[in-house]
Amino acid sequence: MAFKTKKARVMEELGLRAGDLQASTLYRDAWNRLKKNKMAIASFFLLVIIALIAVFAPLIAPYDPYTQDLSRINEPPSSDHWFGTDDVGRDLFSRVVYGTRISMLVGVVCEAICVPIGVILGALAGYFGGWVDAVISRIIEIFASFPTILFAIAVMFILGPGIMNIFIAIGVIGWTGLARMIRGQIMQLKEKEFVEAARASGASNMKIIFRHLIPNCLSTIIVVITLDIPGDIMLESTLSFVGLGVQPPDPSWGSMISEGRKFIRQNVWYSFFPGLAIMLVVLAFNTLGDGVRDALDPKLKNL
Amino acid sequence: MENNILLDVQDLVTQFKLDDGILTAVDHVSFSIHRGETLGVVGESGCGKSVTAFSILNLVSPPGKIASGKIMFEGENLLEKSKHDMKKIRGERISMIFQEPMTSLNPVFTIGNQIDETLRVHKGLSRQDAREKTIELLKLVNIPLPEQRYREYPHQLSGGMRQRVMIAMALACDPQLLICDEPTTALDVTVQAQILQLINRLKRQLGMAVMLITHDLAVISEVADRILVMYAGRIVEESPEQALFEKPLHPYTEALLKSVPHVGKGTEKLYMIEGMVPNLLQKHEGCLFAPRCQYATDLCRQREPALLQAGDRKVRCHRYTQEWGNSE
Amino acid sequence: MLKYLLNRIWQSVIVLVGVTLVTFILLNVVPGDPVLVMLNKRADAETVERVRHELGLDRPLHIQYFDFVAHAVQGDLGESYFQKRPVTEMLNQGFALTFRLGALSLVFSVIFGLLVGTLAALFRGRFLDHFLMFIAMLGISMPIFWLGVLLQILLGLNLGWLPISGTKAAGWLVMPVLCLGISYGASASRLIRTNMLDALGQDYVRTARAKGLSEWIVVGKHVLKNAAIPIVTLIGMQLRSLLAGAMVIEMVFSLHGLGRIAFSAVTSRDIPIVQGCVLYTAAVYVIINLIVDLLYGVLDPRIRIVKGAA
Repeated sequence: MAFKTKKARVMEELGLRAGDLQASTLYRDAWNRLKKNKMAIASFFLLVIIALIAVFAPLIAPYDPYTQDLSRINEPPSSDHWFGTDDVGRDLFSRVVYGTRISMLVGVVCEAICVPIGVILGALAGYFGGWVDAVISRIIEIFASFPTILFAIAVMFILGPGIMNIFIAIGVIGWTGLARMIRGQIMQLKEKEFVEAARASGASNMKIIFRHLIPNCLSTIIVVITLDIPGDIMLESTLSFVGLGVQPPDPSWGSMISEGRKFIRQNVWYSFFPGLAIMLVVLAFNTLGDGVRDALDPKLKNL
Repeated sequence: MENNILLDVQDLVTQFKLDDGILTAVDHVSFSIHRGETLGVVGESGCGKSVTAFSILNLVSPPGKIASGKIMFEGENLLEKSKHDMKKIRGERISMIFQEPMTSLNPVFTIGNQIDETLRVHKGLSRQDAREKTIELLKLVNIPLPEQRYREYPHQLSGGMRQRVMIAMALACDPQLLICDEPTTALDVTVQAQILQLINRLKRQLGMAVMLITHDLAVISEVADRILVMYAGRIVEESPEQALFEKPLHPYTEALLKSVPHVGKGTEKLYMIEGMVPNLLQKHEGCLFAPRCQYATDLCRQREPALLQAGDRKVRCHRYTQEWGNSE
Repeated sequence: MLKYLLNRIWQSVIVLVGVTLVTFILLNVVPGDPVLVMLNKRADAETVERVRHELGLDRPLHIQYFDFVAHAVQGDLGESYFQKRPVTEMLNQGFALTFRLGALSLVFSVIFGLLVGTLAALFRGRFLDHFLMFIAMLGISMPIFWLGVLLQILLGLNLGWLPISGTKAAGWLVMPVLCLGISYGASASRLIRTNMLDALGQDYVRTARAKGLSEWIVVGKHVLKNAAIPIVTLIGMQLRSLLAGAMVIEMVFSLHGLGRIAFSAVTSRDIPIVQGCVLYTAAVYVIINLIVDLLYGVLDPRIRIVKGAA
């Protein structure tokens, strides 16, 4: 049984049914709950700021992220170089600022690839059942049995390094969790009256799936997306860290840490700031994701 | 007479602190239970009867809290007891069985293990002695093949059997008071009767007092000596069993009685109480039952009636103010 | 139980075959001839042909695949293009280290997760709960390799307590295990908290309290054993991602485990090794899944009986 909200528990203790105390729509209720979650709201604003930094990077960065200055290498933070300089004298602050672009893009593009695959396959498996379900479930299982990082590596191996290829690699692996969730949810939903009604009025299977069932899974999809994005960001930085993702000289936080690692004796700040940036972004997404999940559907607590 | 009182609850108030306000689930409730007596507590779901029971054992879980009142058990206030002393009372002197025999037993331990545990904690019995006593208890509650059941897990038993196990567990230490919270609600009708008979027989056999909580007056009519009717956290009527069935005083009791199906009356349409239980989070004026009451007057909607007493009966209704006078 | 077990093994075989097929197809549609990469692009056409024939790459793709599977079943994953050593031997060696690292970290992270998660669940909604869960959230949000670098700087360079890299100096395993343990312990503690809370809210907990049991027995016996069932699955899932984390950590601490072998094979385009690595790790995953399923049966009598009867 799933975790319950405080109110739901009390209501149950008192023997009340949901809806007895107040009747309001799912999303308005969810929004009211989310508003009360200060951490989630703070995270949301932090992410908005980071997104703005990504968009306006050229205006914010004080230096060009690629320009080397060999007279000032491996400097600690100072008033002209807020985060210090790297091994070839590039401004680390500017590079971290440009790095936001890759990390924010990873989340958006990867989910744009994952979500259609996961939702469609999950919906087909859940709706048709039988052999369709058996085949799709097996495919899901096969894809889920690949160690994510190795699969990403195998895809990168084929496509070769490059920012776009990272997106594809992560997107192609990341859909299995969503597919499983949607499959389970559609299985429950298809027994509901409104599906019967739609079928009785002559709607085709595809119409039932796309017009009636999938829109009902919206809250699950939203929750899964917000909770998957930090994983995507983390995977991108890991790939870049092991040298299979974004290639130098492009400024990715992961590859910056990898570079900085070689100079920990000369400049500890080199790998510190990019890592801090990853942590902040991932933390913000995780906190917001948790908040959205708790607000939309407390039953999904185990995700 | 005074000595005959086992449990005396005085002005109990139990509240739940929620995000959108404080919900008073039990509102100044007072009643007592005599030794060997069966007290029935009736009301719709959400009327505070279960919370009252949990309050007696001091087991109201957060955000719920007992705000005020006294719970005198054999002359001692349970609310002043330390955690340690309270543990010795729970399961040993006051036991409780619950509505859901399906989920009230721990699924990952055997029946035997769960009953043994009570005996070993309270009586300090050895493994072997506890086992013997447990099997004896299983026999007492009419469970066939007790030795075999001892080794089985809850999911291997039917609902009725599980409730018997719960009763055996509750009786392990010969409690003076057994609280039954909707003990038959989740069971089939035939099984319901068996369980009620069992409780009734054990009560007489062991001489304990029983507090029987239910939403179903039919259940109580067979076993209770005295009945307490609760509505929206308050006691609205208290009466000996027979008198209540013969002449219900409170309009709510009357409505409850009408909604009990009678055997032999055939296909007659069942009476339903109109309207909803009031939202206890909202401010209210007047009698809480007034919106659903067919006798409601302006007075009822403006002022809340007091609990009036006449003889061995009590009622909270303006219709009796004239007749009975102010006695609270 | 036997029937259930056989069924599960059969499903696992299907998954493994699927994994080999997908990897094989992926790796063999690679643009860029591995022979050319291998021979450094300087060789003449004749040499290329000869090497290709030696490696069996001139045969049709499906024959190559069946050949690969036939050998894989016998534990032969081919030979590295460059190092001329059997892949199985290399992987076994690497896995020994990765597994040691992973298993130690798992133990550490579970102990850490149980302590923090249980404590937070018991103090639900209070300061300690919020505080512990915030720390756990920080741990989850930290890239593991960054944590590794920070530990190297702090414990290795600044304090000089532990060696920074390699396997030669005493205590070389401490930092990698600490790093993985903190990172995965953080996520374990959140999951354990959730499951403890779930178990704490169940009816049988109320029964246990009403029986007059002490809070120790209620939590330590009744709650923990029930919470253990989902926790075991989570740990199984965690072990999988922990092995992946271990591979990354090997890069940070310069350890010659599976991860290092895999990453360098990708860079050098040594297909047999990449193929072997994927199959190897997938097999380990599948085996972990099987073990978790079996443990489930041990912990949960309901499953034991139902499956035994089926």
